[in-house]
Amino acid sequence: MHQGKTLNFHKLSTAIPSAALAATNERLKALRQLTSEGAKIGRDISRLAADLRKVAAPQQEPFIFTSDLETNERLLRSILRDCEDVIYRTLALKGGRALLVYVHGMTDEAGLAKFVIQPLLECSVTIPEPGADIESYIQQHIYAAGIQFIEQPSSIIGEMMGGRTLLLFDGHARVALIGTTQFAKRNVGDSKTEGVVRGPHEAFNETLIDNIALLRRRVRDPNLKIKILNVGDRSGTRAALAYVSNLVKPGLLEEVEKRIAAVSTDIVLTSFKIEELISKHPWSPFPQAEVAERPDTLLNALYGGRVGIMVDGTPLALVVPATFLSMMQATDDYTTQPLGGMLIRMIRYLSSFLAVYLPALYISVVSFHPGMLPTTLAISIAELRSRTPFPSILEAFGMIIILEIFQEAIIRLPQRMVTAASVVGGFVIGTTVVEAGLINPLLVVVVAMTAIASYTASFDFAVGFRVVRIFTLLAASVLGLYGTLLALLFTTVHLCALRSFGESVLGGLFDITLLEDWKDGIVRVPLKLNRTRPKVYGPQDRTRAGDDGG
Amino acid sequence: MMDRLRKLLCAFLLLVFVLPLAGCWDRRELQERNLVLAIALDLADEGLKPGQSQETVKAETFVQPTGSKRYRLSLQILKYEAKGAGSKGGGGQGARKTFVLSNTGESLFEMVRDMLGQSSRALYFEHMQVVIISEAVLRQTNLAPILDFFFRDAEMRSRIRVYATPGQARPLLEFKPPTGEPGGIYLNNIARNHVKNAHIGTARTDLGHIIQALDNDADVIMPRIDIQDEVVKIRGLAVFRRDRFGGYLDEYAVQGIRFVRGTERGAIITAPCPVHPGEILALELVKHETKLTPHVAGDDIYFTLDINMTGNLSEVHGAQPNTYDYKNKDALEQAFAQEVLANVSYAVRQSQTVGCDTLYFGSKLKAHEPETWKRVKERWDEIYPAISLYTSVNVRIRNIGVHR
Amino acid sequence: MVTMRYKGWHRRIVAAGLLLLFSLPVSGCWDRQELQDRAMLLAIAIDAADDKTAAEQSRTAVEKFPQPHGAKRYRVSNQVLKLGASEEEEESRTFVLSNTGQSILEMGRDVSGQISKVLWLEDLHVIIVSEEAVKIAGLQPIIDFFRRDQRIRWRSRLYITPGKARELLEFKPESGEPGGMFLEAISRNHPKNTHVIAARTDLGFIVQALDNEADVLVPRIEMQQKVVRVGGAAAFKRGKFAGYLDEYAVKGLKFIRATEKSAIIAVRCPLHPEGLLVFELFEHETRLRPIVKGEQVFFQLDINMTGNIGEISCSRHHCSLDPEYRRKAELLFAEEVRRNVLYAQEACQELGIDVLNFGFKLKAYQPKTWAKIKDRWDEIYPTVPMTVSVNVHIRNVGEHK
Repeated sequence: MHQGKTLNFHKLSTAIPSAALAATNERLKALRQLTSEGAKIGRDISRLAADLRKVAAPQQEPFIFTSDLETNERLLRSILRDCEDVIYRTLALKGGRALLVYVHGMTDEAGLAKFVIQPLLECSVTIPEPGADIESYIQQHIYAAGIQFIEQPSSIIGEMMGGRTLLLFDGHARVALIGTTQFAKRNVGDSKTEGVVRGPHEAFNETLIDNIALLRRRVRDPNLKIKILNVGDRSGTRAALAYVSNLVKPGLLEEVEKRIAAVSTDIVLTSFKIEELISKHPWSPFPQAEVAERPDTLLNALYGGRVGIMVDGTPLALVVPATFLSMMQATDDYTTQPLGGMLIRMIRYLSSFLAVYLPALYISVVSFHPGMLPTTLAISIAELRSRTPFPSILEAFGMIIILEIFQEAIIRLPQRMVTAASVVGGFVIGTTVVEAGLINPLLVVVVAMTAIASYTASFDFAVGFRVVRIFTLLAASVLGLYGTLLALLFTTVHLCALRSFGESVLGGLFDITLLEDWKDGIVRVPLKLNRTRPKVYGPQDRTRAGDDGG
Repeated sequence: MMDRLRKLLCAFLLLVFVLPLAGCWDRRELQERNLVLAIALDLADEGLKPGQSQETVKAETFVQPTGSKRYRLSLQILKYEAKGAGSKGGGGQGARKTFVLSNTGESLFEMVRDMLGQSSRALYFEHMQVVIISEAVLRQTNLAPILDFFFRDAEMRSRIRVYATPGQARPLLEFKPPTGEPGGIYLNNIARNHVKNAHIGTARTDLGHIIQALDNDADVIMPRIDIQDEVVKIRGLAVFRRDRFGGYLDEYAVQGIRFVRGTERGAIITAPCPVHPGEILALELVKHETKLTPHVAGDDIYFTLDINMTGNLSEVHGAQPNTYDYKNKDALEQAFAQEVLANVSYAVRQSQTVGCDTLYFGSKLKAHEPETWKRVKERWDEIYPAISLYTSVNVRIRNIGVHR
Repeated sequence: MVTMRYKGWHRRIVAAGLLLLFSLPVSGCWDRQELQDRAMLLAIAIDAADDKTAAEQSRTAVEKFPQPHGAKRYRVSNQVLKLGASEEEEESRTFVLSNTGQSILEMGRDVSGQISKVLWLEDLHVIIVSEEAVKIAGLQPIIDFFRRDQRIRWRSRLYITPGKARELLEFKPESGEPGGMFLEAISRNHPKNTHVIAARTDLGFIVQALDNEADVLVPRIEMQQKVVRVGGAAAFKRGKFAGYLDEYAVKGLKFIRATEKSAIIAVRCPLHPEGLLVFELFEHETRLRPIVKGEQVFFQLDINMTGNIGEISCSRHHCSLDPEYRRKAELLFAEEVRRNVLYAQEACQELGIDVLNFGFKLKAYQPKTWAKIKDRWDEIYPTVPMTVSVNVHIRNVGEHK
């Protein structure tokens, strides 16, 4: 105690342990090591930079290919550092060496061996002198079908990453791209979201080329044009615009191209991203492009004068402009007898109305205007309701939330669990909640009806319905039928004001000049009576039959 | 962009704030309302339930500054039975029960409101079915003051049935229908059978029609309902001179009136058999055309009535007349026509005795002979009982329902 | 060092877990009592103890308990909900237990000797006090327990009945609801029934008023041969029963306080002694303010009313669309409202109860005058005059031509 008070220490290390000499030395050593490693890294970086700088690369290009194979390989390896799936194969040929570069897994290696490596190795002609025509040499000696010569190194790298093979020769700066692309992909299968009874079953898959082929296979029309664009600054995703050049409304294609060109995003993995980025009203609950999963749906739209957008990697093509009428149509309308088709279509309209307004109507009648019910119905509803403790609005919201939870769960669940979930949901909620007197059976019927009704519309539209349903229900719970009508007005005005590539989504329905579109809109008249294309999309030629064909 | 966003946000907030203000405006859940199915109106000291005394009436009522304790108003209220899975087995389909609340006073509106002091839920009239007024009340007051409340109130429907009863009205509300329907609905539905039952004068006699008649200064008719030992029956009509109670017409008169007005669709006409005297025949009316025309000859006003009827022979008592014989068939048709003629003149005589223009002679005259109407309008009450009606009836038998 | 720190952290978690685990049985499901094990008390009736018939004598002898202090002053009856009683049967959904004594709490605990479950007070809907009971020692001692117990909801309804309170608990509502809930729900219709004074008269308000030594009104409930009706009010002067106000006075009071949403005002037609004109009020503004002129204190009441014609029983003789006729009717209604309001004020002054809060108004608007006359207020109040001006506007007549 006494000693501690006098400030008398012999060594600093007794007071501060980390000040000991040994510890300090250790730290110093570590610091030195770090500096030396840093210097080494700096040297590496400057060497790489020097490698790249050796050749005078133009602006916006990382480098240019030189005539020295060693240099080219070094350049490629430095660009593709840590891309360990890239394979470099050196071939010793007569008169020099050649280099094949490709991505493992994206390339048909058997084909490469058979149609590129084998002919080259067996070739008895010497490689042309540096500066001589290498292109004709390649064209003469390689069996592979697709050979391409591109100037920009960045595109060459891009193509190679997309599955093609690079072929370089010693002494030549010219690079050949050989089409040997082959990768794992899904086969063309049944449609997942657009079921159909009597129509064709083939649907798009994730591969753009296959999808284009599906279109071509159905129509031998040179006027069906495919325009390929790249979207996504980093992903470089390929998107195809499909249109029929002598039908599409003048100006529409340019507008679509303009909007797609204006899309600025890093990667594009789904076509919905494109849809969202090119639509002008992102806050609207309704979709502004139609979705086509099936080639026949898409072609039908194209030959109505519309434009399709297919995005690599998504089996769903987009169709613009989209209108309410077009989104409510389904293939089956056209694969059954006209009267039957008309009936299904009417049912679809009715059910979309029910999907949005049924719960709101129920609430407003039960809690605001019971006088509107027939007396006997009023009595039975009141008796059902008298057991349940909650006001009907809470009940309805509760049921709708339960319903949304179910839908969400069933979409997310693994296939095997869905049955279990349905049993638990259907049985527990449907029966037990009613038996416990928490929710009255009539409301369960109403909400179930609503849910079933909303499945008849396309999924995109159904999601919009759900949003509007909640909004309408809120309005009804505050103002009764008056509120429901206000919501109906509001929704209608919004849908009329909503424009998809210049066409009002709902407005066309009420436009007297477009009355003839009802022939294939509200109703579906037999084809013999409807020989024109819908007016609303402004096709260049409105006559379907007796078309001059080109 | 910022500006637009801010504007949107403002609008949204405004909407959110307005929501609670609008405050569930008219919201009252169905099960929180007491559905009133029927109203009965008695004199203040009548309409007591067995076991109730004037003490009860005193407890029911309120201190009233204006008016006297003149009427006793009773409401029939539906009793909800909580139906759920629990009670599925036990008579969910059993008799629906109702209960009755009463009050005394003069203004119906005031009585109804005070009755909220006896009810745990709001009283709701939009599903009301019948109004029953006792004869005692009708004899004391005119119809218009009693029904005034029903005319003005927006909750009252025009299709409400109005009945007059010779006894007390409240027992009709206590009546438990054997079908298990709620009482008020049962009472209303009886009247719907008027199409096939020519004895029920319920066509065009609901509240809306009565209002119309009162507004046009026409004579009111309303069906009469009786209850005796658990038997409820609509029989005949209560008739009014303007809105002053005049008396009742019996079923035979009602059938005659309906022949004239052509409001029935299937009457049964019985007549003595001309071929086999002493037996009777029944004809089921199928088609029916009437034409009532006023004629003016100088000061004399008379009406002609042409009736064309087609029907099927539906019942024959005793020996079968040979209906394949045209002579016999003609005789049958003649017999039925005679009967209709007698029926119509009975109805007219009865109506004229009471002084109620049940056949709309007045409005016919006004429509066809406006000049004459203007002249006689003032004296119509005196003229009407003396007007003569010349009827010609033509009956055709179509099917005889016999095969050989 | 790192491992040490990790270990310490680990040990701490385990320690916390164990602590939690051990404390579980100790705390023992502290207040746990399943819903179905509680007997839900829906209504309480308080009668005077000696107010009983001979037939009930033997019953009360069993019910009561020896009491070291106090007298057998009150008889408390509890209405308990029967769980699972089927609604279709004719049986009642509740049953009634009684006890006699003085302390309400003591009786409440002793009554547990008559029931297999724990009595549950939080769903108490109605407290009914008989006139006899309240005359014994005023409202204060009866209410006191309910005010202090935190299980009692302040929105519970208090009624005074001139008859026996217990009979009301035994009443089986025709609508099939449990009795207590039915009795409470009746007063919920008060916005449309001007004869029920139910706004600002629930337990919370009454306790508050008693604490402020203010005068209160309690709605009156009456039962006669299976007919239960709420109407009129019992008036209390500082907790002492002062008498009843009839429905007409209650209506006048509601006009002054503007606590009603809709009212029916009926007047005689001056031309036709048979005729009755009825006005349905739906919009209403009132302003009550004190005016002091020298020594004289009086109150000024302005009423503005808008409404529809509800019923005219002599309408055959009039045309209610005629503006002249409407103006006359408006004047008639205004006169009736004035009469009604003055009747109410007079009735209050006769009983000496200041339920219109004249005292508070005066204190708020004219503090100086109030300071002067505060001590003599009880004498002054019954003589304070009120001038009334009423303006009635008829909007719709519900008639068409």
